[in-house]
Amino acid sequence: MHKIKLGTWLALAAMLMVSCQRMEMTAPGFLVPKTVDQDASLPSLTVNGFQLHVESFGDPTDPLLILIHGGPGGDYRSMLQAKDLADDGFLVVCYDQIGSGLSQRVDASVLEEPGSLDVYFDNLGSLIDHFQRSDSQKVFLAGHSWGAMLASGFVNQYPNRVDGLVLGEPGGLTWPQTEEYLSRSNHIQFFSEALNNALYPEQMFAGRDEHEVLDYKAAQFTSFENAPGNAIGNAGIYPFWRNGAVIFNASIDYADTYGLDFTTHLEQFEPKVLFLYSELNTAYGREWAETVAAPYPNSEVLEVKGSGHEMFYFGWQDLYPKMLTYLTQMR
Amino acid sequence: MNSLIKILMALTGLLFSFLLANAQEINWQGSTLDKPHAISLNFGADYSSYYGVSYLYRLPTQRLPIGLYAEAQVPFGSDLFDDWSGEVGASSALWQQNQLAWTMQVGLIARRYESELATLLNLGANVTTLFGYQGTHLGLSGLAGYERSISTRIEHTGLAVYYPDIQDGWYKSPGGNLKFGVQARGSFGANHLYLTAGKAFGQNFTDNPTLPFYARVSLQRTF
Repeated sequence: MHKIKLGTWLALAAMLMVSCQRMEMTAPGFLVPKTVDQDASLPSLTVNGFQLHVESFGDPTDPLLILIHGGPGGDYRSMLQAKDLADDGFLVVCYDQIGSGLSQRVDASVLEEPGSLDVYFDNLGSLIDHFQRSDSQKVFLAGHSWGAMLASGFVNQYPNRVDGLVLGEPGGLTWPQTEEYLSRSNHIQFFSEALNNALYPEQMFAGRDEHEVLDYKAAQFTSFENAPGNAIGNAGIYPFWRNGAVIFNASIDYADTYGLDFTTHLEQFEPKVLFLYSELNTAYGREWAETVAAPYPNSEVLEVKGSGHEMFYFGWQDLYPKMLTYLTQMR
Repeated sequence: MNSLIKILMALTGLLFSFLLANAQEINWQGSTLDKPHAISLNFGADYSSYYGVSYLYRLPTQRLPIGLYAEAQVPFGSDLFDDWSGEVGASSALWQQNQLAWTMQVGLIARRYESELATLLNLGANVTTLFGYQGTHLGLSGLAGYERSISTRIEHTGLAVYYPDIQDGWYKSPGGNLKFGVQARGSFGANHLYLTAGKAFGQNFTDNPTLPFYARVSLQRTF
């Protein structure tokens, strides 16, 4: 009898523990930061109906330099050191792409239709329109990884709207090329701690489709690509706000379904391109950099020393003078 | 009409709630009947690669065979015990006719996960059912299961560095996954080899596991 009572009380205590004061994973700001539509104090700009997280640094009349972050679904937090270039006479504009970072979340349907990937280019074009005060104000783009792919996609469509381009390790400029790179950069060791760290928590949040839960699961996944011994040479985790899981999957699904080719008109882009690859990314290297850069008629390929793929964060000390020299030549 | 739909949905939900996975290996028709203890070494992949042990004790019931089990498993990886899961529960052959058997299993799960980003402690439940042929030396069953997460305590480490306002504590984590598969058995006296494999889905069939398949090899000895 006493055993039954004790068991009953223990069961009740356990039920109380798990039923009281439990928080909702979807509560804004609890597990992932609030986005611009949830926190009015964040700097934002609405373009083409999408509220984006946008900041600018520097004199509005200086040459425009727009930073385009990686992902898909990443954010510009790891590129913020590049705002130093505002002191060198550039108007530095940072923005989180559609559905990414602190920008407003969007549904995956935004990328369902063929050609819908152009929303990335439309938004970039609208940002240029917003910040460029005159036709004589030059426009430069600096893209990292997926952002470098988008920058190439933009000049592929609008070769005359940009006066210079800095590309940091775009996986590829076509989807097959990108897949080839990803097969090296995401090399999976089945019994590794890194892979298990990425996959194990999925079972605790299984079958949930709320964006906040998916974003939180995506944040846990960052431990995989930055684990010790990672192929892309990152020294560890780097700063980020929010991994936009829905836009990530939608972008990858788009590329899988419709393909990507950002090279079709690159021969029309005349300015020199600064193409950067990192010393520690064993999946990239000079040979791959030259392969990816080949469709550009005029490019300079340089290595960023002491850094892996996340070169705008870990490699900024070496990247900064290279980028400044290039931008000073091109301004 | 709406009431009828609600009743049908409730019955469907009830049915699904009694379907589950990670089935404890037990042969109700074979030599296990006169040997109440079974201990197993398990290796597999289910969200992650893992290894573990399980123990099952068959209660001395006459009409309805019931086994109580406990299982522990640890994912492979360099950090030995930062992640683990444990499960306790009961398994029973609810129906047997000739060499056909319908088995049901209900368990409670506790799981821990740790990375440089966060430490998670999760409580959940598991229901699995198997139906199939169970001969003395060979067995083959279809398997369906539902594994539900109930509540998770989260303590952030690395994630709190870049997002200091992140909230630690207990979270409601209602959600789960469905598993469908097959389990094959070969028995050699008191030794048994079980092979289980199948596919896992998120309960909404949309947000599915990154590793969509699961597989398990169990080496069991009864005594």
